Amino acid sequence: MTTTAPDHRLLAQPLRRADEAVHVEVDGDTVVYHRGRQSLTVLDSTSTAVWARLDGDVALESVCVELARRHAASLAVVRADVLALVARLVDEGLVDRPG
Amino acid sequence: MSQAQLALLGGTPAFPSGLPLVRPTIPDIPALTSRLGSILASGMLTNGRTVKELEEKAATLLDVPQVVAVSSCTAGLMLTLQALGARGPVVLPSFTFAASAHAVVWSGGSPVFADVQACDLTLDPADAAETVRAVGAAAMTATHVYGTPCDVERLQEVADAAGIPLVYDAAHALGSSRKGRAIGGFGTAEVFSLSPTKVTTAGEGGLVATSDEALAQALRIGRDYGNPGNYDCLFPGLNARMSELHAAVALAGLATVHERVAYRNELVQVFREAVRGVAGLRLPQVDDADVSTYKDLTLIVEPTEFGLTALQLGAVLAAEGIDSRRYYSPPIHRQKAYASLLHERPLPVTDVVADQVLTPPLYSHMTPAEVRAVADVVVRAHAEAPRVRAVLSMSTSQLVPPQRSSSADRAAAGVYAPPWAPAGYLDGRTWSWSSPAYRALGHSFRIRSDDPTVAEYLEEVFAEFRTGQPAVVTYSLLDRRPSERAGFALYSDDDRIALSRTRSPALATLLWHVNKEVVRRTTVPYVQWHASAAVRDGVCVVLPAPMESGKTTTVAGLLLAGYQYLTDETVAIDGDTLLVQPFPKALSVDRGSWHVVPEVKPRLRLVEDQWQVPPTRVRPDAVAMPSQPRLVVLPRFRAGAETRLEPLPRSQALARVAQSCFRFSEDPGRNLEVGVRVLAACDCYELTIGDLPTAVRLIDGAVDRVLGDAS
Repeated sequence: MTTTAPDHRLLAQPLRRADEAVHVEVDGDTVVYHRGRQSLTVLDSTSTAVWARLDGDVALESVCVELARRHAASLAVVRADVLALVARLVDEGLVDRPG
Repeated sequence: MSQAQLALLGGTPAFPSGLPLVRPTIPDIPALTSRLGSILASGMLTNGRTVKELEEKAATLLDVPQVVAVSSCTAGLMLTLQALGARGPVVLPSFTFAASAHAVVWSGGSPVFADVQACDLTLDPADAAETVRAVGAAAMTATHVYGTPCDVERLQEVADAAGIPLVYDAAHALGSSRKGRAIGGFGTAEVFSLSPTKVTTAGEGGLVATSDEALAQALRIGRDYGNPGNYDCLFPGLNARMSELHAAVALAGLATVHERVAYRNELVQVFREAVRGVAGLRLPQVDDADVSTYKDLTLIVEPTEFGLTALQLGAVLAAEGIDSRRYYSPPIHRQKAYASLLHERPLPVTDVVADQVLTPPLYSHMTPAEVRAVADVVVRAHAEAPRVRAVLSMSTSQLVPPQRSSSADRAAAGVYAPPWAPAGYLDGRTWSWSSPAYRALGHSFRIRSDDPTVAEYLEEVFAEFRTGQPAVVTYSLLDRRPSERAGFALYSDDDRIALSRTRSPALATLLWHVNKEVVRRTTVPYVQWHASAAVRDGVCVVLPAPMESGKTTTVAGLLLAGYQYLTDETVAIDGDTLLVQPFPKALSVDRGSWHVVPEVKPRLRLVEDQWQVPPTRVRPDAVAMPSQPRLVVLPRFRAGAETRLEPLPRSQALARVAQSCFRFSEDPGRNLEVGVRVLAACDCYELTIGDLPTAVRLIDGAVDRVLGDAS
């Protein structure tokens, strides 16, 4: 297994859901539609917890810390998962690319 | 032949990552990159020595005195026809790429189409001769289609007899030869394409080859705005110059064109060997003394012998991940841009072959194994034709336009009328039958016809839609036999929406158009899902799905099992009340499902290959009242599969429902929000349908569970 150092620059930023993204919650999951790409993405309840916090106000690191505390999980593991999810969401245009 | 199951029938795709139709082959990219760098550093980006070198090397390759490089084949054709003064009727094949005709129009001529030869799909010299004489042609163009050389000797005789120039659209044919002589030296000029789909590419570009020095000079001026060099333009030319960069890319390929053409011929031979003995399949004939580039590997599929149409074979390939095209369907004279031309002469061969062609992938670095794999799918499709037909015909959506009228219909139609009716033309006619007003969700309409045969049929099909309110749209079905070969014309108000020799295609179009307009005209507060729906004991079951999924057949099974019917096509949900408003159209049961639900066979049948089953013919009380969905079942027909009903998380169901939501992108927020509220009251399942009785029994069980939970 290889590990990579966390992207501290990304973690320091407050990320924001894209204006193009329309979402609804269903039974704790989230369905997101991208207007421009006309694509649909389903986020499970764990991903939904991250998605709900991407409002442009709180740094991603704070989101990780909060989730790690809430789930009594390793911060390093949570960081890795959150960064992977955010990278995917950025690729799909659902989260604004960090500046 | 491999024993693997076709993907369309539930097997694994032959190319899970996809096999594209074409990929350009660029030899020696490092050397080319270096040359491009030198050009960029030189500061001379167009009309420089690279373009000149390309022209000289192409002239040597083609054995012609003059080659003029241009920005595209289309621009080359336009400039050539302009320079030749082809401003009257220009005879050309309809079975070719649209640019062949576009160039005629842009250069001031009028396209007049002649037929092609059935054997090789190139311009038929005999029909061309008749057409040239009939219209007093100013010029003639012919296409070496797919790289197959035309019958250049006989075509030249036609041109010589009429005293007109003959220009070849040789877009596909750089590397082809006729009886040992390179294509490029025939006719007045030959125009090649260097676009990315060609055997030799420049990225974009074209070459005009000619022995006429004056023509070449006019082309050189014409490609530079008509400017002879002193900015005192001689005629309105184009910016059709080729850049130095494109010329360098073309030069990289030109040196090895014969190697690629030889390799493509080997690949075609591999394909031929692999499909040998398959009935109803052939390739355009190339004479033994000729060489084709095989720019395309186009198959001609005779449906009665092969067992499938070209369109159906294309669907089989698509399921395997294999890209394909219909080169050339529709032919030019059937395209919207040319529909207003008056075609006095029928093109029977063109009309037939346009329905029969299918072009699977072929490119110059494809492997023989890939070609064999494509051929293997074709062979298996032929062997499994009955099952493929059954799968493809099951639950064909009414929202897909009905297949165009048959080739025989169109050939018989011969003459095109304008696509609209002159003012007062329809209202001034005498109609033997006029329907009452109908209303289906947001679409209100009436129908009138001078064909008494349709009255009883349409009154039965639309019986559930009778209303006392006035109609907004009037459909007019004209029976113009025997004075017109295109016997039936259908209008929506004054817009002609069908023209056919027989009644069936016109009626199929009417049914399709009504459904299409229902979706278009039904607006807020309704959200519409592409779904069927039925009700039992107050439990509304909705089955959203794309085409070919078994929606109609399943809801027919439910109807026969005692359910009440809401629709087989469009579930309209009131976003305020969440009630599904009935749209009880006649069930559209395609031929492939007739053996599954023989009980619903209708009394009257006027549309071929499809039953229109009024729900009240099954049971007088068959139509349900508005109901709120309690079960969402996503059906998926898989021939031979085990029938299974599996729970689905609501989030997954919502994403799938959204994909089946009409006009979803117009207001995704509201469509999702209504979907969430609907699904909140529903159990959601995915249904794999192998057989109908089990599918109905499983749905019945799910309804029982809802009723049990409620009690």
